[in-house]
Amino acid sequence: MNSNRLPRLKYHSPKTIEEVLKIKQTFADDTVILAGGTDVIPMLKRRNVSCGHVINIKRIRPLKQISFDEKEGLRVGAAVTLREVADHPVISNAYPLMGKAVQSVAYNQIRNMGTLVGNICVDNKCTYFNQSAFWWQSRPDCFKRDGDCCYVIKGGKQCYALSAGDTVSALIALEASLAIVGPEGEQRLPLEDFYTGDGKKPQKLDHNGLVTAVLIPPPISGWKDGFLKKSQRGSVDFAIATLSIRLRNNGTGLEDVRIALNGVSSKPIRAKGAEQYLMGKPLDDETISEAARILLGETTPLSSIGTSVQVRRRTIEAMFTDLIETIEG
Amino acid sequence: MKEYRLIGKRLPRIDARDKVKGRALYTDDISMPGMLYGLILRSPYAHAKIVKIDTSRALKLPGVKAVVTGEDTAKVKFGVISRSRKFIDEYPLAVDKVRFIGEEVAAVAATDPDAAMEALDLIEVEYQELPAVFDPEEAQKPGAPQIHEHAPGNISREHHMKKGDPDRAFKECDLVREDTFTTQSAIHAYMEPRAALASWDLTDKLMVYTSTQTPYYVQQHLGRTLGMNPDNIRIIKPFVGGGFGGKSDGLSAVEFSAALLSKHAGRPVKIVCSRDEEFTAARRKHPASITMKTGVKKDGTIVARQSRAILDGGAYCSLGPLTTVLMGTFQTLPFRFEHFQYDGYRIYTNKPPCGAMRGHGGPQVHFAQDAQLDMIAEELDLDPVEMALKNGLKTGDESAAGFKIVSSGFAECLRKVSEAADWQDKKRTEKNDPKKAYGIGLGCGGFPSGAGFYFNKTTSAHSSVIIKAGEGGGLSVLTGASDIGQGSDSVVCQIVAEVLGLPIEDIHITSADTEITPPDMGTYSSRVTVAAGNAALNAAKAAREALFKVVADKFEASPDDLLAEEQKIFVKGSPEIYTSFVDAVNLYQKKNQGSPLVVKGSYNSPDPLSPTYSFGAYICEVEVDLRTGELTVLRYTVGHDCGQPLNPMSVEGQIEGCISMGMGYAISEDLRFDGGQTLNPSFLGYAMPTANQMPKIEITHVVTDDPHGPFGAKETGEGSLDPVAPAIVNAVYNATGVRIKDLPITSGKILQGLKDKDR
Ligand SMILES: Cc1cc2nc3c(=O)[nH]c(=O)nc-3n(C[C@H](O)[C@H](O)[C@H](O)COP(=O)(O)OP(=O)(O)OC[C@H]3O[C@@H](n4cnc5c(N)ncnc54)[C@H](O)[C@@H]3O)c2cc1C
Ligand code: SF4
Repeated sequence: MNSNRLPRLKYHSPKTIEEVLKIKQTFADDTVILAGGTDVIPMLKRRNVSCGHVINIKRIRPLKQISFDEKEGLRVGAAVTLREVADHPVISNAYPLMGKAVQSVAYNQIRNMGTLVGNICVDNKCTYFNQSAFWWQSRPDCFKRDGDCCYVIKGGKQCYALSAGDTVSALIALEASLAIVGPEGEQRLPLEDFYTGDGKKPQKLDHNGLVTAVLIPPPISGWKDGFLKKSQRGSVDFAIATLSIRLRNNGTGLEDVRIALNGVSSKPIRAKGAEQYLMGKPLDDETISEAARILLGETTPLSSIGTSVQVRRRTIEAMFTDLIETIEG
Repeated sequence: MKEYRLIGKRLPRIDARDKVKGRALYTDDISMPGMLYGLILRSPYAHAKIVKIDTSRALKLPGVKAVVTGEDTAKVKFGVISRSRKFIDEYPLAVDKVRFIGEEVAAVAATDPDAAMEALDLIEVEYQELPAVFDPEEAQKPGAPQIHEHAPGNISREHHMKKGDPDRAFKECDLVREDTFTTQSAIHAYMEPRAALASWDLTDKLMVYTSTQTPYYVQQHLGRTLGMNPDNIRIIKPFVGGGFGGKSDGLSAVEFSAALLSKHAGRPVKIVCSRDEEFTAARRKHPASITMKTGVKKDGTIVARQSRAILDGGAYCSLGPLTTVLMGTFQTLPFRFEHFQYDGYRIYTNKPPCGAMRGHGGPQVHFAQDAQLDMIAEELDLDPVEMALKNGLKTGDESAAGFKIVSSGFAECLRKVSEAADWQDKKRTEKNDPKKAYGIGLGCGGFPSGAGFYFNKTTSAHSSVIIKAGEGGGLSVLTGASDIGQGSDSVVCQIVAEVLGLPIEDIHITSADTEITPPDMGTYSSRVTVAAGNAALNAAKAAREALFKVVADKFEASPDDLLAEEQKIFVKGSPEIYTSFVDAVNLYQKKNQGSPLVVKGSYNSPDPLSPTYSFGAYICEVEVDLRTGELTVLRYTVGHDCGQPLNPMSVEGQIEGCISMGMGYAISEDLRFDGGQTLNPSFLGYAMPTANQMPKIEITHVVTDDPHGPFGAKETGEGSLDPVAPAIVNAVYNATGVRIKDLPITSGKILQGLKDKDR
């Protein structure tokens, strides 16, 4: 049972982004980024990831910053912790949706260490995959371990591990994007487009890339929003679903709406079908339940230990109804 | 009820400060010069022959000092219930065969933990896989894989009990119900994983620090498996972070491997299990299938009970043979019926062995019993509380399994909780919200305050306490009773201090060190307060008698006229005639050629079943989201009769802990298996309730003066668990009309039930 031990690896703690890129170029896919480490350290110990080089990014000054500009919006560096985000006055004043989402991640100790960008980059979760090396001795490897079977969907042809970061639905609803730095310089990518939908390799980030910040457009008045997370025991667990809604209502109908979910599929979902349906409609019981039905069709909840597909589906529907109702007061 | 100085008072634990500040030393906190770190290699197969083990590569790894396998052992099996040879079925390190995933195959010791972990990967084991069986029904079928040679049909234990004539009695009943209930695999999840530190001296004596509930048994079983006189083994129990029955097997591979590695390496060896190992390979609770048939009269009087239980035992006996018996006897509490039959079968399967877990068979059968009585009450249009009142065991009764009730506060528990929870009104709460439903339910319990027999053959008393007086007025109390966090050290000190009129700070307790402390059965079966408490009481009385004798001589008074209070011994009615406690001790020594004041007290249960029984009634209130099946436990109202609570804070702590554990059992704790492999071996996967799920709890102490308990005290550590789960089950039914017969109550089952109902 060697599940407690970190593999032999070289630990790098560069002070600049350039150094990170250099190390990455040298060791290519034998590297892994360490931010708060709350996800990656357990994964290394369990041998869910194996690599020879760990690059700590917490000593890089510029990555530790949160900046806000009325025109540019908000920029949160990749080494900023969830705690720092939650405690920041701009976030509680101008981005309450994001504040709520951040507070829903795990518990205090994890939020003290874990970063916002780490939460965005967190690997997809599966009750099978996230087991120790000893555990895996008892059965053949699944797709995510480069094997050729899946235990969640028996007979499945690919990996269905669920996208997990609890802050992601809120950030997508806020139309956030990522700043990604690679050998060709900085590139911006809408967060929505960052995810592949492949449980095995869920993010569009090659071994050369480093996410340096998450960027959120400036807040616009007239929008109302809300966030909900449901999990088996409250916040400790990964979510059955997280749901974020932003909307603008002119009294007769919806002028604009953003609906995003996470935890319900191999990638975060922007529920465009439900959004389209709702446009211009008044929020009565009938539209809400029809929208919930459409929304459900846009997710692919799977069964996991403790929570069946049926429960997941009903929970998503109920969350949607409840959240719309709270937003509308 | 008599007022005492310390008994019945809300006193902080004697070790509370040390624990809170991190000063209390647990096994993993202890180190020795030259100490090595040990680890255990476990089987990845559920059932396999061990063809060959090659340790040579591991031994060559720098830092590795010893590697041991079954071949290095005396090949002696152990089993905690060593009275019967059939129950001695397990090698501490596997010999020839492995029977579950996680079974101990080899162990290594190295100068640092990393080298030890690396060495594990270098041990080459060649296995030949054998067909395995995981389901107890399948395991009984002809042609099923045989797990042990001595157990045809994989029957590990069967137990049959009969009283009266249930078949005839059922015919005379107005209503007979038969239902099958099933329960899942749950695990103790004690806070401190098992750990042991072993070292040998040059005269071949062995010393082991270990996280155990039963130091005396560890001494005996280590002696047996290592082929040495147990008297040459010293077991020290430091602070222990919980056990709940998971550390009461008398021996584990952890202690054995540490001892053997230390012998081979010639250096101390410490092994600390990881949480993965605990979830994967440690003992656990028996999953059971219980078919229960109960017959009643129109007025709700229970007449007869017939039940059959199939226990999924896992690969070895552990304490399971006893669980098989207790699932029969415990269902005769807390209700009276004349006709009873029980047939219990414990079946071997290729899964981790199941043993004792808090309540020991009780939670399974009380779930069945209380759920079924709730159904019966509904069919007869009776109030469950009234029906429980009608059938509850009273002082002087004997249960169908022969439990002699010497004090029962059950009726009072029921009356108090139904009033405090506003039962009559609340159970009629209207259900007209399509989203949420409120429900209320009753759970009942009764539990022995300790079994009255050892698992091995011995002439030792069940509990003994030695008191040794110091020259400064303090007392050393030596007991083999093991405080594993439940607070028995504090209770023993409280009792001794009360009797001798001393402040609790003057009592210095050692528990337990087999070199120093007398034999004691250990911490299980809810026996410590009654057994060790009585032994302490007897020892304290002996000390008082010895001191009173010399003081009486001095004052030319009768010992009967003396009192010990406030560190003084004085003549009743004349407080000015006194001697201080210190002076009395020194006077004693002077009168006895300087020999120290050393006294002892022992206790044996007067009844092999148990000296006495606790009772409880729990009312639970829940809310169910009818759309999603989400269940929220809102509130528990508890009435508990533990005789005289010696320290109400401790009793409340046990009840609150039981509610948390019982809630987990009812709604979310579930070890899932696939092919004998534990699918959720972590705290993230095994959903124990968190602090924010805890409901409001209101506790009423129902005080009865028990004739056997020390100062009238009875147990509270296990009986408090039994009613917790069924109270939720019944509340969910009250809320939704969905009757759960299969634990745990997941949201999925509630949704399914609602759907079936609509059909
Ligand atoms: C007990 C427990 C409970 C948890 N519960 C939750 C929960 O309820 N909700 C939830 O969302 N998460 C949960 N997590 C997961 C995790 O703790 C959080 O998602 C956290 O926010 C991750 O942040 P981190 O900084 O610690 O990430 P790290 O572990 O440092 O990194 C996570 C991943 O992102 C990559 N990465 C990090 N930064 C960058 C970057 N700048 N560029 C490129 N790649 C990067 C890493 O290489 C790694 O693969 C839980 C974890 C544990 C151990
Ligand atoms: S969902 Fe992915 S990680 Fe999970 S078992 Fe299937 S392939 Fe493996």
